[in-house]
Amino acid sequence: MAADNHGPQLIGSLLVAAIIVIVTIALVTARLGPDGDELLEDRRDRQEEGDDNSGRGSSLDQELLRMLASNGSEARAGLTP
Amino acid sequence: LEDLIEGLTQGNVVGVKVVLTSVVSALAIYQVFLMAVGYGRVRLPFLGSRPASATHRAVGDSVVVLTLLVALMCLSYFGFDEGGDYGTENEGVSTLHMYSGALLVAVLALKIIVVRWWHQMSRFLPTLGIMVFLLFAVTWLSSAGDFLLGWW
Repeated sequence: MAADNHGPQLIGSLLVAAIIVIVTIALVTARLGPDGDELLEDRRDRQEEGDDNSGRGSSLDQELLRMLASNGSEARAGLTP
Repeated sequence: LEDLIEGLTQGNVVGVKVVLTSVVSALAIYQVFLMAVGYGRVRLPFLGSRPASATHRAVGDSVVVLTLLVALMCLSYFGFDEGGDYGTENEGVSTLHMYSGALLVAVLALKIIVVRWWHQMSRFLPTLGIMVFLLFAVTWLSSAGDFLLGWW
């Protein structure tokens, strides 16, 4: 009898887990956009720029690259359904 | 193995890793909630402690498989000592990710051993569970979290 009562609760709680998985995939994919690895490449390029250069000019360049990469990722996030 | 992983993910290794770790971390939060119900800390009219515990076990099995898959991806593709390749620019955060990930797999393995075979140590299961959850949080925050949110 107890198993009869627990069955729907078990299925319901497993369904909640499935919904959590679906919502997380949707949110992360929307944030990443179709070019997740490009986002990482942008970050690596910025890091290399920082390693190669020094002084005020280079930090400004880095900031500019950071802003461009940030705008790019926002644009990609906006385009992703 | 590196080529296999790159082929399976169609070159989006980091993207797939970020999605998988985020799913696992979200499920880890749900796991804590389920065991709070399972241990009777939270009482809900629509969910009993036995179904909550059974769901915790079923979801936990899936989480373990996904975690081992991500760990395998990480080790074979990024290695164990390359700073800056885990989705974060900060070498210190990369090191934190490396050690928290390794510790997570170790504590997870210990928890499985206690649940399946070493029943005398069952009283430590809540502590081990909280440790696993915290390590999931640190591992996600130091890699996928940073990649998605750009905190460090």
